Amino acid sequence: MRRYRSPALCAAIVTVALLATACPSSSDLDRMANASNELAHDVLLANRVVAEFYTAGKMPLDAKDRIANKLGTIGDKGEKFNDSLIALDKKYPQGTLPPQDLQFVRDNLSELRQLYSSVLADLLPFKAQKAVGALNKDLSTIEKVVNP
Amino acid sequence: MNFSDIIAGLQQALPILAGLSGHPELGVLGQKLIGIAEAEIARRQQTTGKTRAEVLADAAATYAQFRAENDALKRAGHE
Repeated sequence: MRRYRSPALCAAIVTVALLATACPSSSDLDRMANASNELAHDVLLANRVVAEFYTAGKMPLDAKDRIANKLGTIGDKGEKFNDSLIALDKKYPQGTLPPQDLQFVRDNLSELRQLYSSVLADLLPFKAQKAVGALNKDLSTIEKVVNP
Repeated sequence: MNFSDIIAGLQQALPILAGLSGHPELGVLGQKLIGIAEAEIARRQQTTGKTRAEVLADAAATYAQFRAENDALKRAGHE
C-alpha cells in the first residue's frame, strides 16, 4: 500500500487550490465570478498534479484515466458555467441578479459540487481521507458564495 | 534556498502542505509539486484589483488551457 501514499499527497495539493475561494466583493455577480475563476484554476491545478503523479509512476493508469475523465467533465461544465456568468455580466452590469438567475447559478454550482465529490470518492482509496475532508469544507465555502 | 526553506515558506502560506515535509522520498516529484504550489501562490497574489469582466476572462482562458492539458492527460499511456 506504500505506493498509494503519494496520491494522498496529490489530494492534499489539489485541496490547496480550494483553500481560498471567492474574495469578498460588492455584488452577487462579483462573488460568483471570483468563485468561477477559482474553480477554473482548481481544476487546472488538479489536472497538473495528477499528471505529475502519473508521470512519476505513483498513480496507476486506470486511476489516472478515471480521474482525468471526471476532471474533463468538471472542466466542461465549469466552462459553461463561466460562459453563463459572462452573459449575465453583460445583462446585469450592476452585478445584482434577479431571483430566477440567482437560482440558475446556484443549481449549476451544486452540480459542480457533486462532480467534485465524485472525484473525491476516487481519491479515497488512496488514503486521502484527510485531504478529502478539507476539500469538502472548501466546497462548502464555495457554496456559501451563492447560498449566503 | 534549500528544500527545507521552500517547505517552511509554503507551510506559512499553505498549511496543508505540511505533510510534504515528512516525505523527503518524494524527491523530484516533490519538487515539481512544490513548483506547482508556488505558481498557484503567485497567481493568487496577482488577482486583487481585477474587474469582474477581467476575472471572468481569466477563468475562460484558464478553462482553455485546462482543455489542452486534460486532453494530454487522457492520452497519456494510450499512445
